[in-house]
Amino acid sequence: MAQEASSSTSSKTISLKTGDGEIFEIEASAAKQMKTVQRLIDDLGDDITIPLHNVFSKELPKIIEYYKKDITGEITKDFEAEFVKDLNDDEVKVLFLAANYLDANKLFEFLSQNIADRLESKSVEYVRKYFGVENDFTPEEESKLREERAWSFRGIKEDE
Amino acid sequence: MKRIQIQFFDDFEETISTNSQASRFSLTVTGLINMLKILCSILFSAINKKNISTNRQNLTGTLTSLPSLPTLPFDLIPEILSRLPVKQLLQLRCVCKSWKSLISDPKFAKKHLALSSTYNLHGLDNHCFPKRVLKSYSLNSSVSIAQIDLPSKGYVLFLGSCNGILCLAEEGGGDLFLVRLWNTSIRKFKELPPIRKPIVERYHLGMSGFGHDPISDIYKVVVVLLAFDNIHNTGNYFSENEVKVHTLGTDSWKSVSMFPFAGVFVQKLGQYASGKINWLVSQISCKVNVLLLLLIWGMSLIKRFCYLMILVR
Repeated sequence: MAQEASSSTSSKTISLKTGDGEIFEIEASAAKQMKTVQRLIDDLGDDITIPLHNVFSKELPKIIEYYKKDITGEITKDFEAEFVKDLNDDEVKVLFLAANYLDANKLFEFLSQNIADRLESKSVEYVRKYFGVENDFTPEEESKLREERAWSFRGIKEDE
Repeated sequence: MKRIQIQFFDDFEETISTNSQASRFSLTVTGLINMLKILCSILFSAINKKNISTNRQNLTGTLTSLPSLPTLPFDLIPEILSRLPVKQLLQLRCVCKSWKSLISDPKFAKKHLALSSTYNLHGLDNHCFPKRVLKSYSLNSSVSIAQIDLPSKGYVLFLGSCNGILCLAEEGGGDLFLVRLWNTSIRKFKELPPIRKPIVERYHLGMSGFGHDPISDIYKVVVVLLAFDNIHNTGNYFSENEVKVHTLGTDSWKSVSMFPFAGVFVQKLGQYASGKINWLVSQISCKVNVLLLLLIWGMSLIKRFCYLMILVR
């Protein structure tokens, strides 16, 4: 799309190619919010399709949707709630990793908070499973740790 | 003239590492982001760097084209953990050894503090004799969130608060004031060296404060002792004040030079803000002038702080 103001990129679109070969369009101003993409644009020029080897066609549209709203300043709590409502744990993790790869700060922080919200008040076992972490403590070591901060494992005089 | 004061103690989380021989444990305090979460400070090992963007480019995690079982790389775990409540983080030290190191690192504690915005209110109840009780409340509920029996026999009072750590002094008995720090998030005490009471006819614990210098990463406590002595039994009382400063990690209190306005404070407890401790003083006349006395010992900027004071004439 040609513009009169040559330096304005507000209606220019950038083509992004996912790791599985699909191509998506994004506004240049939205691409600016993803530092990795912007760096690639700076290196390769904005007329070339930018390859994103680590992002795939399942998650990129959702990311684009987020930043479309961001550039128009329309991100509200309701939008964010809606955005993550139907995502399962794995989908959120994939988006989180993609946001990290793309260096998309706002989305990254939003998803960090969302994952933290999903994990809040969950047990140690649940968190281990969520992150796929093996417990390398012996039973004795673990029970000693639990004993040390026994109060944190109960609701000490807490209200609802 | 009426004066109404409402004070809030801000509750942040923060890490204190001390090299004191007396106790080897570190008090860490970190902050939480949601209103009702409890602050907790935990020591942490230096895994997460401040400049996240340089790390981000290199981290991709184990992503395959099938979105099943994505594993998050260890470097991204602090991003999530620093948004969890302290109480839960204490539990999550049991997840595995690397998580325990991560959560216990002072750098993680600082990151957690930086994201915190929880404020709690703490009050001392000296009337549950023989117990002395510390009660904690969240700001948007009148129900107590915690109640701790203090290991104190004498009357307990606040010397100050900073980043979720309360500094308490215990009066009574003997010639010493006992001083201790209480980390409200991880619920641990730290004994500080006691203060020797002045050997005069009468004395009074005056202004005090507790603050953190982020540049040197040191906590300091300041206490002003007002001594009243009857000179030569003339009935004329001479007042002198001693200003004592304790730097965490040392084992003593240093005296500093005379402190102006020490006898005319409106409010004893210094309020910590922006790296400085502030006291409200007034002239001895009935007018109230709002003078903020800034006492700086190489302290500099830290974080915001919740302090509300209303003066009504």
